[in-house]
Amino acid sequence: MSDTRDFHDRAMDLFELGLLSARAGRLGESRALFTEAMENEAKAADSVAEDYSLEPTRSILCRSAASIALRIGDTGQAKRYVAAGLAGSPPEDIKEELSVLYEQVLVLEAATADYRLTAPRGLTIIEQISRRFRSNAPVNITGLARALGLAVRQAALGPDISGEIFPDLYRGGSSGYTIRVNASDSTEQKRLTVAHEIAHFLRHRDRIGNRLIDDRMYRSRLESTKEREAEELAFELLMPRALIGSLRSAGTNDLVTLAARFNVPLAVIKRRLGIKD
Amino acid sequence: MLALIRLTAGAMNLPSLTLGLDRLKSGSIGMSAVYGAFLAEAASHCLKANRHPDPVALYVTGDDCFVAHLGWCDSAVPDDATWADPQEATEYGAYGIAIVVALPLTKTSRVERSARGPGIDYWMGDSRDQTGIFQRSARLEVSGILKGDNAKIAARLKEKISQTNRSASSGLSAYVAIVEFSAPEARLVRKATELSL
Repeated sequence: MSDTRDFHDRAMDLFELGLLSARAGRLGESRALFTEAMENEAKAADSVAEDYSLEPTRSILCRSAASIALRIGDTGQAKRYVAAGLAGSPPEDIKEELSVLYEQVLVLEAATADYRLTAPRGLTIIEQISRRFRSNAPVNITGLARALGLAVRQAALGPDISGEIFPDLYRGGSSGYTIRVNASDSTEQKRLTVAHEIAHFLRHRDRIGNRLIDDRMYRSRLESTKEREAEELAFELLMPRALIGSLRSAGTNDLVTLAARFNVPLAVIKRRLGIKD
Repeated sequence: MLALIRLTAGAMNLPSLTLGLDRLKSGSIGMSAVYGAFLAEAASHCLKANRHPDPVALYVTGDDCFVAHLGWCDSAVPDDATWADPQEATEYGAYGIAIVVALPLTKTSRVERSARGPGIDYWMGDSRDQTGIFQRSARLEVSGILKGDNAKIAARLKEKISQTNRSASSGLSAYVAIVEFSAPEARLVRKATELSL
């Protein structure tokens, strides 16, 4: 047990250092610290792997190793330790946390999968989540972001910025990214910004770099075609065509009412419907 | 409730205790000194933002009631830019105070840590227990409020307890701590575990 203790204490010390380093914005250093923390926590978990009677020690160490692995995007290791934790007889709440972790791993895997060469069979987990959150108006857009592993916060971003998305090993969601919206904006505008940043995450994750900032016109350093892609997807996330169709079939055609139903700015629902001012 | 406790504290000599955030920085309570200093700084920032004296009277309520004279090192608090996000300061500051309060109340000398979600999961237990890490440990669930009244504390406590409901059914016990900074209070409740035979 002393080896387990030593590995675990070392892992947690490194993890704490990694958090502080990430907070200071030293991404490379924090990633290296988290990686070393994960290796130590994995050794701690492995050292009790065969002792199925040692609960909750066994499952907590597995969950801890899987959590750190997910933070650094190592979905293979995260899956391995979730499976190891579930293979024992974890207490009910740890079991539930392991199951949630497993879903987060699958979401991250799907979000990072390259479907250009091999098309997925059926709906991907991202599409399933998206459908779940987009079946009613107004769409729970922050819920969707969180389910996709994105933390959503607001901050004073200045008068010219709508929002941003950036890799965040300190307080990011399970994807390792955070969306920040301008705290001074209206709720409707914030919702549009969240949808736009989700779209960047899903479509342009490899182009986000250290930070992707969108100005008031939702222009960033990405080329205009990418911004158009993001806008199209953001509109579909926030105002699904199928939902608009059902509402209009049921007689809701007034633009102000539609904007209110979807909780978006009036100008945005007009753009969605191709109506020019 | 807090007003009643304060009246009682004055009239009936509620037990008192001296606590200090310095304990977090010792490196001997199960967390690294540098991370302990970070939690202490967050807590100090929240106390300073509320213009409290150092030491401040911290009312500990819940399963136990007493007044803690909490030293928090006013001069060591950095400028506001370091803690620009009040939500972040409140969250980490609450952990700092909850741990300092929970150690004597749970008769524990160290906390156990594990990684969970974006942060650290704390457990109160005897780390010298030879049966293994987290054996006979109780999870510490913490929530912070920068400015709030008794109703807000009670509502947050209820919410946290319902979030940890599974602990009761699974035999894992838990403490729930709500830390409020404007009229400093730490409400600490041990969730009862249900015995299923």
